[in-house]
Amino acid sequence: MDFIVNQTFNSLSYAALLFLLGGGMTLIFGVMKIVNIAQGSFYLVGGYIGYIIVRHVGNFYLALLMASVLVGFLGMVLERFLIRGLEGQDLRQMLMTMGISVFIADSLLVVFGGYPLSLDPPNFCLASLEVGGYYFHVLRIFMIGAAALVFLILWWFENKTKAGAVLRASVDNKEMAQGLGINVRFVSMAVFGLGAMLAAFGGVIGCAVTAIYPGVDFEVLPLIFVVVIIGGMGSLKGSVVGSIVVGFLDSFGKGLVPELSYFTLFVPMAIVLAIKPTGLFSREP
Amino acid sequence: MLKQLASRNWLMLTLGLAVMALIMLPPVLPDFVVVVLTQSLILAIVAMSLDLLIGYTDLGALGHGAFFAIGGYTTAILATRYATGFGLNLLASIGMAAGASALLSVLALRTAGIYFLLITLAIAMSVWGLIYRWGSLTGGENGIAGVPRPDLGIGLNMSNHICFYYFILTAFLICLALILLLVRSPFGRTLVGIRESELRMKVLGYNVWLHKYLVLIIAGAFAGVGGCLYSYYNNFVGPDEAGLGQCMEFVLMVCIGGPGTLFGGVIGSFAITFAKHWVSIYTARWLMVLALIYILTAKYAPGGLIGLLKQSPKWRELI
Amino acid sequence: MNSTREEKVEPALRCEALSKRFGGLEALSKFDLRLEAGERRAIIGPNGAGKTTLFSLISGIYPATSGSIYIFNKDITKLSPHRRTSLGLGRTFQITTLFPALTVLENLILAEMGLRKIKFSMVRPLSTYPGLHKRAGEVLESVGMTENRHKVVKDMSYGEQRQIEVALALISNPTVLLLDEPTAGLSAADTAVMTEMIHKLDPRITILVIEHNMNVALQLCKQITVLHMGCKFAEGSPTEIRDNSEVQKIYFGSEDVPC
Repeated sequence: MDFIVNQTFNSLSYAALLFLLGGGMTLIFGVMKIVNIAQGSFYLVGGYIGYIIVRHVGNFYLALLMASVLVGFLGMVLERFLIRGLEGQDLRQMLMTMGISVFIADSLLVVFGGYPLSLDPPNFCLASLEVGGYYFHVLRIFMIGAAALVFLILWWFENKTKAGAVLRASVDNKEMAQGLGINVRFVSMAVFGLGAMLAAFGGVIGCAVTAIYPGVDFEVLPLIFVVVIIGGMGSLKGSVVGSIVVGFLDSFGKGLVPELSYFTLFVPMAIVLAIKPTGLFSREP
Repeated sequence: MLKQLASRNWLMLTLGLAVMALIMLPPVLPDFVVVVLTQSLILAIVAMSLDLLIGYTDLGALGHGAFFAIGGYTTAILATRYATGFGLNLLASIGMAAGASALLSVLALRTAGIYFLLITLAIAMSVWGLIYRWGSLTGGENGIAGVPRPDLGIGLNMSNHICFYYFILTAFLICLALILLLVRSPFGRTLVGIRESELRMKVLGYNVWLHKYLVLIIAGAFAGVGGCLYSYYNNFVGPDEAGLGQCMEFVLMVCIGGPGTLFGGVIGSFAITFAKHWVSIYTARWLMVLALIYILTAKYAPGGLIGLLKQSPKWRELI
Repeated sequence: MNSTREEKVEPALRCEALSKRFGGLEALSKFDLRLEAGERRAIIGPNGAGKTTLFSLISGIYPATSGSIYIFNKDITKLSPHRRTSLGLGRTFQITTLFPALTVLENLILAEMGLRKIKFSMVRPLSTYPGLHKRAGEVLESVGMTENRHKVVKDMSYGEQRQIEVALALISNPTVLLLDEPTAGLSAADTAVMTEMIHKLDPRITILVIEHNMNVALQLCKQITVLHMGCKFAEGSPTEIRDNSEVQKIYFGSEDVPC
């Protein structure tokens, strides 16, 4: 019972992190129809920026803000100067995002070295909350809360604002959206920036919870891929479901059958592929 | 008509020269170069097989490294634990890689276009993860070391660079010949048809799914060959052979040479492998150089070096 | 003894209550069609009436939401496109669907291999199959494209491409041929050439043509079916249809004319 409660809690907090990464990825996939290999890199950059800010200024919230904004901006710049112009050419886009990812990874290695770095979260996060005999790390509760908040903001944005409607239109039918006068190029740039921002936000939190180190960018990618595959491209709801599924499977898998734990990810992916190849919540058939 | 003959002659000449150079030069080249050539030839086999998918059939199979790794691990496991001979190891590697492709492609072919890219990548990552975590079988992150060079039973010492090089060259030429035959056969033509217009192929009576499935299995088999040979070359196999980096590198090789040209994959393999070794002599920042190659290829040379060649005025002069 | 007097008349193509729904839109609604062997039928109707959807359903590109399709009384409703082709169905597309990077001859050879087992041959080079080249050459000649056979398709004129489009459909010896707007976008001269080519086709082939050009439809076909908003609006001889005032109405855009 202990095991189940603890693992469930861990799964949820892990899912929170995955949502931030996968949510960004699925939005980018939905609007721009590209698989952003650099998504993990944005996580990494965010984590390192967060680390620097916390070390020199000491303010965790500032770190969250600055990392998100800076990486969001980075994303937009990359989209504008490198990715734009490759629309519709899947392979070229993959090569480009791969190149960006490898470049960022190696640059960070030069600047920060190979040792894992972690930053201190705000003091209240260091405590543990006691509920019914179980101890829950407040930092992880914070993670879940932060992710939930982000989800709500995104949901409100997507469904209740005009900008969100523009986003949804671009996901559904880009040509049509363009025909309606929507500046699809700007939407692409903004979405790429948004996706990067979410990843960076996750990176700061990840740096606080565990650590940031070279290689984590590629380690998270398979997990994010599965989140997007299960949830469906462009679907916010889908990425929540996908994150939870992956979070649970990975946590419980590691705990129960460590040798096959990656394989446990493969199974739901295969099931989704068999039933609805474009993902459970995607709007395409 | 005359133009076609002339261009064919130039191509044949260049090819002939290249093959002759590969056969005759190595004894006089430094050991280091021969070793890099050996590696290039092995990876070229995999790149060519990937070109069948990416270039000829327009199947963005990003997960090809998975079958490369499966072939490699099969050989490594058999050779280190059961001391089996080359013939068996090669056949087993081909069987496992082709078999894995047969199973996984059923899933992957549920999707098309960008989804297919995502799925194949995710499948390769799953294989990577399986290799990484299934330590008792695969040695986990440490991989499997101590793979001995193959004993062909004809008294040749495969630990000798030159000997091993010629062994690999033979294997490469055989694979090249087989894939060339495939590409020029009716089946090979159907792949081009699928690339040009899948819809038209369907109404012409082709079971497009079946053709895609078959070429995926065949490409998987060749990747398995590459994996087997690579284990022998390195005396080692590790999970990174199925990793994202390796998968995308194969894609880069095909793209940098020129998709759909077959020899593009060979050129790409040589280019990337030599660049990697040469740059690493001068700097530890090979990855940054690689990243730039990715970015430049994506932005400026989607048709690869052969594509650029075809566009240049000198080429038009030649033909 | 009386039963021998009953002739077994197998319709070449039959659609029964064929319907197709895309989400909330009903593109085709309970459509019935019956074509006798060797019949030449035109399908006409305003844009969006469902004509190309009908073709896509018959050729198997889209699955039907409900209803059935029969070729010579064989139920093909659930069959994949390539299986229907092997049963004798041929089709051209409204938007030219050729192999743009290949030459005319290569296009035809690919078309020829469609129903042959050699498409799985992986060892012998394609160039060593003389039979293929011969047949492709014959079809090329019948559509007057012999001098162009080594030209790459994407470099050819639109009119020539439309002709190759028909040639591709013919090479598999179809018994039921679907022609989707064969004269669309063609000049008057090219239209005449195309019409002549279709007119001269083997009379045993059953042909269903979508045509906007009424003259062509009248020239080629003895029966016309009118589609409007997904249902069969009218059916009859060319004269009957031409004189039908309701048909004229739907062409001039009165969408409130009921189905």
